[in-house]
Amino acid sequence: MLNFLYNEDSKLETEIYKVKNHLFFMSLKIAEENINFETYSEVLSAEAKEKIKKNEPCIFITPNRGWRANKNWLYPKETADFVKYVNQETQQNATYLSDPEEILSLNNIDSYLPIITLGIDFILKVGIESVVDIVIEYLKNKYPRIFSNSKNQIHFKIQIEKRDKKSMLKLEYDGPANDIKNTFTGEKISEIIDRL
Amino acid sequence: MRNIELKVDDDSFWNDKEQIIKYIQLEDFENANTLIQSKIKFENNMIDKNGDKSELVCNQHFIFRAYWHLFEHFIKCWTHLRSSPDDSWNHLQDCLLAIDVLDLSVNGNDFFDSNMLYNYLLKIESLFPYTMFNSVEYVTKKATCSICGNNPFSKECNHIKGDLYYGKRCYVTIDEANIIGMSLVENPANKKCIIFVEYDKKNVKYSPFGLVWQLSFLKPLFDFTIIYKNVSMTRDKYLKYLRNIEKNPKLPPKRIFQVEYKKITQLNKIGFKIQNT
Repeated sequence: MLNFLYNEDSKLETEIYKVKNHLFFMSLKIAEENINFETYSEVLSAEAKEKIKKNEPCIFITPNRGWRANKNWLYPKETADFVKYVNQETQQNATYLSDPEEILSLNNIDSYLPIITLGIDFILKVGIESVVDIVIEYLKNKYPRIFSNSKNQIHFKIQIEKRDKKSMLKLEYDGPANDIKNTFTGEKISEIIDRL
Repeated sequence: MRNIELKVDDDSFWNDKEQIIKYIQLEDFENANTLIQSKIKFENNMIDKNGDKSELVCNQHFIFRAYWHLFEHFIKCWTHLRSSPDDSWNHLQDCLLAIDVLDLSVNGNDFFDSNMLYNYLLKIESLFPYTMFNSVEYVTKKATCSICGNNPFSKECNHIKGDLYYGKRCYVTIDEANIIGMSLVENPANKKCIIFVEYDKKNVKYSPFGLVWQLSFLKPLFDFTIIYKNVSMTRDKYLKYLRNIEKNPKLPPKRIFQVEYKKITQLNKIGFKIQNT
């Protein structure tokens, strides 16, 4: 009955935005950081401590510090839902690296996912692809329209422990949801694994 | 997260849906509203009746209720377009929020034509002069889940924000928070946080809501196209167009309705053409 409401206008606008976005921004930044699990020793929860000790393949949800001179460890507001989704809907296990006390809500509609920290054992047993798939599935379930709207950006970081366990490789994604899959290609993932 | 499968056993849903849309298209808002209110009452009764028996049934009726609410807000949005477009904006946002609930259903897209309605509402949204919004940054220190009353970060709480539980939508109440700052953003979390535009309510057509005012002369729930043109118009020419519309306020839905003018709030010289199709 409402067939006459269908119009191509909005699709065209989205396409133009996508092309602009693709030309001027690189969605994924990879950098090495001098941090490891010990960096978080002052805030590590008992559960996380035990899992790190046992080398359990687990997704560690990590707080961030230093947001606008704020010295406290903060989690973004999307964190609780993401952790529940991972634990309820997937076969993986997500654990807070520290007990969440303060939650940061930022001022736009973009989705800020928590920092995901992965031990080297997780990468060897499970792989990066499954974490990326979990992120995509989470977004698909929670915000079904986010994949057709390029204006809503997704921000997430994955920290991967290097083989020497002294530093971490940080993957920082800032871009539209429908670009995540294209960014984390097989080639890119093998490049990341080579750098570990 | 937990997608809900919808089932309709009788034809009443389809008949009522068709009837409501027909009433709205004919601008018979009184009859449409009466029917919508009776449907909302029915869904409320069904949620209460099955409150502790079947979670699925409760959730299904919650989604149906959101659909009827969508039309309720749409009528309010449309009727306010000419007289108080800022109120109309709030109802438009409520319509978009109702579509969020429809998205929880597995077969929602076909069932409710929600994709088409969504695109249609976005087009109406683009005619409003609001381009920047207020948005707050804050750090939450204490929060409560609306379903279980626990801290949403604790292990006792399994509820995901936005999901349905026995006909209730889960949300998080912030009990204690520190505001860090306030910003003006293009894509805010809540589009109702507008920057108020002062205008003469008796002369909406000459205000930044001129485009919205023109929209009110079209038929509701009929599509219109916005064609971007690099044409700027003189003020005299623009006023001439407005006068022509004033003479024929009730244009039939199929008649081509063309207006070219400068969008008042836009600094770059982009002209618009609204065409009823």
